[in-house]
Amino acid sequence: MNTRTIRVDRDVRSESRRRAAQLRGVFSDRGTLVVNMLSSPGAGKTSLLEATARHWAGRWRMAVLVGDLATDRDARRLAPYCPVEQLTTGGACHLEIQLLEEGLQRLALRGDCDPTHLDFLFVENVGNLVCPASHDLAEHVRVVLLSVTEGEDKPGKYPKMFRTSDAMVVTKTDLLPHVPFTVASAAEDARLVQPLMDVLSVSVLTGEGVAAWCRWLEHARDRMLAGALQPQHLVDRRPPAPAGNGASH
Amino acid sequence: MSGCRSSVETTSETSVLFGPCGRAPVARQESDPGTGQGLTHVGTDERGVIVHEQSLMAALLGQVARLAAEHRATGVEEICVEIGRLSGVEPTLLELAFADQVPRTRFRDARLRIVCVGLQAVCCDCGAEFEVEGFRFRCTTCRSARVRVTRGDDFLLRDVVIRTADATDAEGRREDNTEPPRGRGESKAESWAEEERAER
Repeated sequence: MNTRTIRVDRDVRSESRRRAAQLRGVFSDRGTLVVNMLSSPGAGKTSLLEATARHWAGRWRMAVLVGDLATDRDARRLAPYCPVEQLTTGGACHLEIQLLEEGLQRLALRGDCDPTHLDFLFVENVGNLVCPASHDLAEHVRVVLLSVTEGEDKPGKYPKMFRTSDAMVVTKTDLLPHVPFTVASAAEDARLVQPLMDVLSVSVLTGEGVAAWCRWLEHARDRMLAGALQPQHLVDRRPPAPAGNGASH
Repeated sequence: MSGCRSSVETTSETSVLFGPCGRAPVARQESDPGTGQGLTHVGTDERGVIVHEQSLMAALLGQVARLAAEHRATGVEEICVEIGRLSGVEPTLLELAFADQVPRTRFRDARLRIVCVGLQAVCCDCGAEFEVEGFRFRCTTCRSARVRVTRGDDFLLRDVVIRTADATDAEGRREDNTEPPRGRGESKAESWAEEERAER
């Protein structure tokens, strides 16, 4: 019997990254900014999306794909504001591109939403600061939320998540008087891993910062339309291997 | 459990990678690694852990199955992967996922070799190349924030050592003389390829 070594040297995620890149291109052409929202559980992703939809009040066409391990609670909260589809991961800790594609198909089948005519598509990821960081969901911008009760040391503890995010949104700032947390320290920690990080702070209870957050999104969409947006999660990625490599399919 | 062999090597600094997502509800991936379709359905597992290493392993084993079929392999000896420090893949969990899934493939006696690599970057302003320490992404020469990681972001399938029956196909070492009858090996490779097609 003979043995033979087949050299591959390809990232295992190449195929899903290729699909994600293709989808991102499709959304760019349609003028839809895809926003991947990440945080630990309970940091306020759903609340911020509710506040965003309320603030815009129909000014922009938006839809949400919301990932959840098992329940549809987040989807039900968002349903009064905009078209929303649930992506149930069945216990898995993150979303992958094929779940997103399925969600988009379901969105297209609804009567109230045309996913080809959106200004913003939000993907609310599973609450987790680790695994979702490694999966490209066709987003143009990646936003990580950090609530003030989590502690200002988190960016350095979850470097992949913060390294690959374009913006950090500090949430629940109405609690700042009660917790040992300063936005400046958290920003400093985040910028050690991602020096170009945009830092915003919001309280959806008082409404403070919501308008600035919405302007940030609008500005990101403008940059995307102008072809001037460089997603941070693609910065460190090596260029795809040339075609014809062993495992290409 | 027999047949599940894996090893971890570390190049450059000792690697302390990121933790897993931890313990999530009792579940386990049930998708066939042969399809390489990643996570499609999740079931229960007595171990009670589901991590994204499981879905990455399914994708990896799917790629290996396709390669083996393509090269008319009669078996797989070794699968070598490279894990970068910023890849978000935890070697210990990858080994667990391998031990969990490889028995359900057609190459259950394959070994997994994991090579861990450190984190290197290049400065987009001054061009200096440097090792990133403590996840501080600033140029160590000019302090610029515009740096790009050149090594350490990947989860690579480096290479696969396959067994083949066809002597003319061999580039690698000849292992022993327990060569199976030629026809048998080929038909096995073909049946793999057929199963692959059927699964798509």
